[in-house]
Amino acid sequence: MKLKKFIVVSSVLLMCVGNYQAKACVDSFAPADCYMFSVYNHNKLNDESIQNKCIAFWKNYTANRVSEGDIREFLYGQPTSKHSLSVVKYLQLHKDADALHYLELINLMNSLTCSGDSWDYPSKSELVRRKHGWITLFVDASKHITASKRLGSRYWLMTMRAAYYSGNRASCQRLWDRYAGKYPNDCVKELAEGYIASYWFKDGEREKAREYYAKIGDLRSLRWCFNGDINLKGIETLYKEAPNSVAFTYLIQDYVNSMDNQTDTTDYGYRSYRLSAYDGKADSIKDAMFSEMKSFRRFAAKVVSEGKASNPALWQSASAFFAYFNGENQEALDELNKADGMQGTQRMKDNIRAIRFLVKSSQSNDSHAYQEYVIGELKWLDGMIKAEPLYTDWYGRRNHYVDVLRRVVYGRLVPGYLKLDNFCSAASLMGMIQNMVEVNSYDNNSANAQPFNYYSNDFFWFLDSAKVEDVVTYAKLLQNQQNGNELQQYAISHSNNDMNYFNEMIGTKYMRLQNFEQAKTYLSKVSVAFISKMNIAPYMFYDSYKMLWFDWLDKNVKKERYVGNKALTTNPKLKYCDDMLSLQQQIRQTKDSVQKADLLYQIANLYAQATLHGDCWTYLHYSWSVNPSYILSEEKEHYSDNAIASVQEAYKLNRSADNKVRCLFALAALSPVPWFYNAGEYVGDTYYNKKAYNVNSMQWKSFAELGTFRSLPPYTKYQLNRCDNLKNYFDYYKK
Amino acid sequence: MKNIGLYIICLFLFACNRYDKPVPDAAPSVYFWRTTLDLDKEEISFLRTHGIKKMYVRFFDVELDNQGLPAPVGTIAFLHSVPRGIKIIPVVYVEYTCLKQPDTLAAKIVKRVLAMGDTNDVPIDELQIDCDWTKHTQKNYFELLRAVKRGLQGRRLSVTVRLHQLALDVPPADYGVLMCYNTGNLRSYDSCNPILDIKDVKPFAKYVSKYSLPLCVAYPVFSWNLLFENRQFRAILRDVNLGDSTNYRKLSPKLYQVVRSHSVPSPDLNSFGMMLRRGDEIKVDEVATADILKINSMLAKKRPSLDKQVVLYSLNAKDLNKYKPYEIKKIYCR
Repeated sequence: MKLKKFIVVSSVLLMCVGNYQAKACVDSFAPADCYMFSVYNHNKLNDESIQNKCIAFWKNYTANRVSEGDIREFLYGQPTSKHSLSVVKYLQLHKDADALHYLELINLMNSLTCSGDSWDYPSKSELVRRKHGWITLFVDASKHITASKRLGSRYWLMTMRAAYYSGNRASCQRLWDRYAGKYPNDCVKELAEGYIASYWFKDGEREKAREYYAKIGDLRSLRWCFNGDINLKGIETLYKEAPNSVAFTYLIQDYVNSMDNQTDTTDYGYRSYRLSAYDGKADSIKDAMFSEMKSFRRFAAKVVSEGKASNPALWQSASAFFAYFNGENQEALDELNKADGMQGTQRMKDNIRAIRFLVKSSQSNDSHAYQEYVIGELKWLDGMIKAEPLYTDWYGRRNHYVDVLRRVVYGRLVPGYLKLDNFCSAASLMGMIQNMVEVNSYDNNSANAQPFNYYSNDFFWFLDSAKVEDVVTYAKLLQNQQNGNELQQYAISHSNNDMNYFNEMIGTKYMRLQNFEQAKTYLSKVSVAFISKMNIAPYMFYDSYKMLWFDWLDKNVKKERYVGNKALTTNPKLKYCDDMLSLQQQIRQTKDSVQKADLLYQIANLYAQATLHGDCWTYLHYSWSVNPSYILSEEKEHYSDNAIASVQEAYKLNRSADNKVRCLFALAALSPVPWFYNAGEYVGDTYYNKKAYNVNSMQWKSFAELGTFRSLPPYTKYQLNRCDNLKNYFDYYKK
Repeated sequence: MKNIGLYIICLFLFACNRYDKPVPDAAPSVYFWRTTLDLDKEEISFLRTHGIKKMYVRFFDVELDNQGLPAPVGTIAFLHSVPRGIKIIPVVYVEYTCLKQPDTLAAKIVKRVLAMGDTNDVPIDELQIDCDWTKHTQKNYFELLRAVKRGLQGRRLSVTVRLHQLALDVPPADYGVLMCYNTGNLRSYDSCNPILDIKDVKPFAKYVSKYSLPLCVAYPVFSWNLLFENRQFRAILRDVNLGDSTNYRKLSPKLYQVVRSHSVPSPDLNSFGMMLRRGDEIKVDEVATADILKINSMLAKKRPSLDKQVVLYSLNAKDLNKYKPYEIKKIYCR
């Protein structure tokens, strides 16, 4: 732990870069909005890679006899722990005096850094001790730089560190000048260079410092070098000073992506929402951004024509991307083709290819040539995703090429095919990306893997919001893949196509439309084993015949909605369909009004139970929330309306007091608007309670009419005298 | 009879003035709120010109760390010493969320402050605690102060007093500094001057006369530019040149409009900068000397000893250069 802290604290290298670019991928993550422009791998920019390299060094040094865990503990954990001491034991066993001495100096160095307690503050004597300690370390370590056979560079780094912390700048510089050329360009040398870099910038050798921070990917320090001038003005200034600065790779990437953040609209992502906030203004933010992008493009053209830049592909591709933002797709493609033929790193070339894919994906069509192109690029991306290490952050397990895939598929291909009314191509691509990316099939880290039948992901929401006919067509395609076009076949072959999932969803969609016959057709194809594993399975045990508006009378009614992991033995949705069909038929056939009223009363309850207010909400929904606005937004199926209509008809058909009372109470319970609501407000810091009354609400009217039945037997039979809400209503009336 | 009369007169006078005690060793003072103690020539000149005798220097803040424990943050680095003859009084700002274990916290604060003084050759004979406490956190805060006072072993303890705290119980300290700044809500577009507005101070003035703790007063000499988009607060802007007519149009002395959408650097190193949109408005808040004097006059009428010591917030050449020397002199009541 101490060593790790020392490295972090002392080295200007490790100033929290981490997943900088990943974090920059918008505050509210929408998969369609990932950054596209990547000419450096931001995944590599974290101190873990240096840690891993150090651990690898010691593993090799100890001939793999000491475990990685023990080495990690020794270097970055507790040096005196049992695990750490195994390193020392190994060295003692092999009589490696040199390495043992080095470890002694490491311990000395750790003792010179801050203690673990943030409240400690060094005393004067402690500062003197530390200074002497650094000087001792300097003298001792410097003797071993050339004497040590295997640890020379590490002694060198330690000596430079000691010179730096004892304020001996001249020695630090001498050490660098004398030994830098002797050692390979590894992490040790990078750390050593960090000490010199901090002097460079203070002395005005900005280019040297910038190049160093750019080389090691220390973006924070790099930005500090630019003092905030990281947009076009900063780029132009830097070009004047150093046309081939390594820093351009980072500056231009950051600049392009910041413009991307503000301008690119997608049909799927939320950026279009952000831009729409500015619509209608004559000189909106969009205009300003486009104007600046035009200026950049002119500048980039100048840079390319002057021939001073060693990576003109970088400039040209950035210009091409800006052309795309401006809607000049053909211009963008032409510039990308030009960029492809220019000098640039392999990553820059890959970047060009990714951007080209994005531009072309805006032109979705069903031609054979286009499908072949898309399949080719999807295969290429598949390979790129596998080649680059994945990392996990707030937005899941990903790397840059996962982001590219998401941006192209979610942001362009899928919306494009939907616009062409090609639901099957859109759905197959959604299924493909769900399986390839979201279910982590690229990584064996199964702890993060989502099961395919997961009801809170983009694929689910895509299908859930689609028309049932479209999903039916897609399901047919899944079962007859040879009938699909090449792209559909490719995408489907990379999807998880469990027909239980689709049949279950189609059946539920038909239930929402109250087409219970069709619902049964599909639900009967779904295995009970599948339903038992659904996210809503634990909540499917409620009795739909329990009268919803009277369940408060039953002391034994379970208020907890979650009833555990019992296995289902039947599909409750199928039973519900059967019940509904039976009741509907009986209602149609019954001539007796009293009987009909009874049947209508029952069916009203079934309707109500399946709403989000009911216990059987799982029949129509895949999630539930206490948020009232969620409940309201989900009530598209008119089950509530049907429940109310059924009760109202039942009320009319049977004029008995018993029927009226139960129907009125049901209507009061089903009323979307309560008889009163809290209209309190804050005045300053004090909240003042206030009630407001909805006299036109169904609940108010039902309660009012129930008042006329207070002295009659049905009122007592249904125990309405125990209803607090009703009591409050009557109390209000008395006032 | 005469003696009784004299006695009654003295009693009356005493009753009127028993709360009106000046702070000990009252002298012109400043707050210093940066994280490195390095003064430039202008700041040193200011200290000398105005005979500043005390600098209330923020030593560190106390906030909850990742483990939810109080920890010091933003500790000052002593790069230079202050001119001779100026006393440094350490100030520690304590987040109210850190008040769960006041005794333990007090011991840590005192130990650290004394250690900092010792290492950097800063004699410590007083400590000031700054905390935005309320009625709900009063108990623990007062315990903290009592524990700090015990730990200081005879040294002085002062506290900051915000206007709203005047209506609450008096903290157990030797004296307080009444913070007459940040009186309004900077996020409110309609707020006249959230830095200092007499309208915000007036409701609390009645508490000043009877506040039973020796008090002095602190006034602001800083300014800020507040960005509003459709009257919604967006950010405090730094380093914008409002005189650039290609980007800004002056609507009034305190209000500018963005005439061309453009980007400005962001102070946050993790962000690229901010886009200012045409139509956005920038409110310039600064406090005129006349306003400070007016407020001071109002408060001093209630409590004459209040301005025996005036503390300016804060020592910063960029802000202080906006005031003429005679204006500063007036504020210091010289």
